Amino acid sequence: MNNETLIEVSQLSCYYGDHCAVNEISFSVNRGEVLGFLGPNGAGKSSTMQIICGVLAATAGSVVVASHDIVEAAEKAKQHIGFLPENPPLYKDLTVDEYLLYCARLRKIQKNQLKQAMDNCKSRCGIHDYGKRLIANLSKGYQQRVGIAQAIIHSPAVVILDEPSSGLDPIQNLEIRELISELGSDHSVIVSTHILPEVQSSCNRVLIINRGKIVLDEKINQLEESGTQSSWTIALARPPLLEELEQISGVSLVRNIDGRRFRVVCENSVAAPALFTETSVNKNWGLYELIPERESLEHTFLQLTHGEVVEQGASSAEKT
Amino acid sequence: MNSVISIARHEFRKLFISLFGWTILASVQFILAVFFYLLLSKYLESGSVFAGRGLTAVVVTGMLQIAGVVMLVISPFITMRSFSDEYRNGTIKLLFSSPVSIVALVMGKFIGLMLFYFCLLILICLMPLSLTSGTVLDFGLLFSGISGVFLLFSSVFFFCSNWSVYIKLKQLSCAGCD
Repeated sequence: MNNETLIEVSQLSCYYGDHCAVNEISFSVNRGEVLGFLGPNGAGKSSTMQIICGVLAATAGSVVVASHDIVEAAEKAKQHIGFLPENPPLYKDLTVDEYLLYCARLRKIQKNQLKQAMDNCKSRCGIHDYGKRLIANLSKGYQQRVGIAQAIIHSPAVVILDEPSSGLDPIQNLEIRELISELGSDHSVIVSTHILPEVQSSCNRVLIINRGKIVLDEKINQLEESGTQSSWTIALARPPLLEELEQISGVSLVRNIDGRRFRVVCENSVAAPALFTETSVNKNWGLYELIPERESLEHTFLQLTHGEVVEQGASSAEKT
Repeated sequence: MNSVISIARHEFRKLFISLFGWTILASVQFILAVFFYLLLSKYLESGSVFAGRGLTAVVVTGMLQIAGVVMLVISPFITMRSFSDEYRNGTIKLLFSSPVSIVALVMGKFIGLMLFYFCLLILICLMPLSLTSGTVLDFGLLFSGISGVFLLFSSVFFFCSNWSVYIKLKQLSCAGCD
């Protein structure tokens, strides 16, 4: 069941006049996948998402959602889609209940299931006590939650969230990440965000788009493991000379942070911990700290979108 | 069909949850009441130019003629917001990503606005009907007059609500602002 393809995007292009926003991109998303959609501003993320949802017409290419073409069988395809745009599509004069009821009716939920669907999505989004409140009077974070609630009210097979965490406080952010992970268990989820740790924590696949083209499409765990380099912060009670550390096989770069702490870039991320501990024990360096730097996605993102490798020494020093 | 009803109901409600719908109803009623009073008092004057003509032909038809003109001015205020508001607030994305056809969307909005207009027409009709307590009205004339106004409004509503799709500029679609 998990291999069922719910979204199939083929050779999708979108032009705004002469400007090419999306340039012949193709990818597919299976059930149970949470796809993190990354890219700098103006890369074509929102355009792609809107085309998948049928909000925007593509110049060329096709989108198939749950075996239905979004153009030829729009209504059937859209029944399987829940979409949260960048700005939540809210009627601010309505109460939360009135709004969700309208959304439920638009999504053709059966009359006898309306109440259950509303209660379910409200409790999932943590707005159960806000049903009678006017949307205009809610904070930005709660408005965002109402926006997410309308996207999942009909339990769609495909949930597309365009920057769901904007305007949320850290706790709400965490809850949204949990919600996204939960949705990913039985839906296909596409999440666009600028917060890279969010992708690392809640997505199992990442797709980076730049200037309308896909520049990376990989599973998160593969990305972390297959990275050609991995960074570690190590702390040694009896630190050797920097040259000695550089001589460890597989180590490509060593930087001194504060005399005892070092930032070490290693060629093999899997073998690195064993390598450091063994060498430290053998040479009596007194290794007491070994912290992996989980910045490989940020590093990859910047490399692919800006074509540059960012110096991470300073940020590592701040962390330690 | 359910989508059409849902959109129509929402469109109708939207007019009444803000002050806008009530203001339109009150303004139209006030303007027409003034003309109704003027026509009626003119008709009742001895030696009036309306002497020899029926009450329905003078007062009711006269008021419905003015209602037609007033509604030509008022209807863009009601209808031109229907789509432009959705675009401006971004809620059009909700409608476009929902399993609703364009026909259902346009029909829903049209029916919702027509329901509002129907309320307006009932209020307008109450004035001529109040005359039945003192005289006999020509109901044929009254019905044909109301039908004429209804058809005129329908065509203007349809034209304006569709036109509003192309007007996204706030300045131009100000007629539809709250």
